[in-house]
Amino acid sequence: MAIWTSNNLACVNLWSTLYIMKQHKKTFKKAEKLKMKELLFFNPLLTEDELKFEAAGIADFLDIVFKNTYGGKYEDGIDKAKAVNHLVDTLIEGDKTMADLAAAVDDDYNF
Amino acid sequence: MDCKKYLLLLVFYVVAKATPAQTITTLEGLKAKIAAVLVSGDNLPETKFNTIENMILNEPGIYNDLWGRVNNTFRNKSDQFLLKNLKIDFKTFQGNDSNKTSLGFSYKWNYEINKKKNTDYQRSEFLAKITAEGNVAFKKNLNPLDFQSAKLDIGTSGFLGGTVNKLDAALTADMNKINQQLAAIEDEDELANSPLWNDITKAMAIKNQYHYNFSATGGWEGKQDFSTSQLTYGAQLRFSAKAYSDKNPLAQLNILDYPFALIRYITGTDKSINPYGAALPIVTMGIDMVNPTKDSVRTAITGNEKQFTRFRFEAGFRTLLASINKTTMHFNAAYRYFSELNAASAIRLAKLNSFSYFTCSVTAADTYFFSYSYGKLPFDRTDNAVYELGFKFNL
Repeated sequence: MAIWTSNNLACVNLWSTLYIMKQHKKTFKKAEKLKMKELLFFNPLLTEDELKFEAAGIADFLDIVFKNTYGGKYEDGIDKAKAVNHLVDTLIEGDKTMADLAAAVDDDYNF
Repeated sequence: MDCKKYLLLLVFYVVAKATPAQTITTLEGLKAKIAAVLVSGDNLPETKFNTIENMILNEPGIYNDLWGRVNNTFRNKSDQFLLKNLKIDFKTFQGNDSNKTSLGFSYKWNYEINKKKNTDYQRSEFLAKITAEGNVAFKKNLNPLDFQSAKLDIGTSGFLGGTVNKLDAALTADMNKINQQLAAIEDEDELANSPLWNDITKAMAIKNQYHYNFSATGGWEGKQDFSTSQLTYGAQLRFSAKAYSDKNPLAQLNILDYPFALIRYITGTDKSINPYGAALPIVTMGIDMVNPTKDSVRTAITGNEKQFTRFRFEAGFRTLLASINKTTMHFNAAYRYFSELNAASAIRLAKLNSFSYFTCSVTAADTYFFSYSYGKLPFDRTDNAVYELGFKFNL
């Protein structure tokens, strides 16, 4: 798990982008333990397929912002497909936290 | 000792071996219940043994704990790719027209092959996916959600828009610094009002995101005891649009969110009445050919089991309701509608030509405040309104 600190750009850029996307309203400090099921997209009444579809939209936008706005590059052996799938796998797990999602970002992107 | 007692001992043994009981919160309540039963004496009469036995064997939390431990052994193993997507959730079912309950479980499994185009701006993929899902009650007549399905989807997904400006190295460094400044703010109101957000969003120039999936589908639907079943094949389009920038006019078109924007304004959650473009609904539409392979009700009405054409519309919506003190509440909703095209008059008279189901809830992090469901899905024969407010009752 990534250490949730403002010195880690994976954590900060993830938190900021999801804030802009209206997925949450938490400060950086409070967002560490925020669960995926508390984000705006996570409708518990959707089917598994529908939820994954929504998560794919979140992941695709995060991927583009990380690269275009914050200068992120993929780590060795990682491409868009792997990075986005990794994000989606975490996003659809309701009890995973922002720190877990930041770990996925930290694994796949270099800022 | 009969077989139920052996099963009881087996559950005790597995729980004791697999779980340190003091760390399992779901078992704590059960332990308290058992202690209350045992408090009146040292010996264990047959009646009390049976009470404890039923308590344990009908407690879904035990099975979920056990399943969670089994699932953890293979979910992250790459050679267990067929099993790792299997999700099982044990639960207690209650019949629509009685207070009787039954232990059971819901299951979901999928396996997919996707071929993404890996360049930055070619964002589409080919997708082949097998899924199975449903609800099984051990006493089948007490299953109010008796709808099982297994299907194969083959299609393509992609995005239009959803992009931001590509910044040069100097601007990128500035954006990273701004984010660190924002991360240092510890007051939520101060954070929401920070002008630094404008600096980022202006540089990003967010474009609306349009996400689509078009696929051919085929599969089986039925009841858990296979007494009613049908084969389906057809095509579906799934679509979702998102405006992550409030300045984009698409956000203003989210009419579903206006009542909630007003509530957010009244409760002080938002400073102005602004619908969220990020909360635009997800919509699925499909046309299926349905071949009833076993449907005694339909056969009795029409005298045959001829295949028919069915239109399907499904939508999901979730938005922020309010954020008060430390509690963030969301409103969730889903609507599903099935309609047989050119249905025979006998089918229409029996009101089996269309089915609709609406469900909504207000939830916070780990709880719900209210939920409501109304309608029926294919194979349901009656409408049922179900409200939940801390406890459940049927109308």
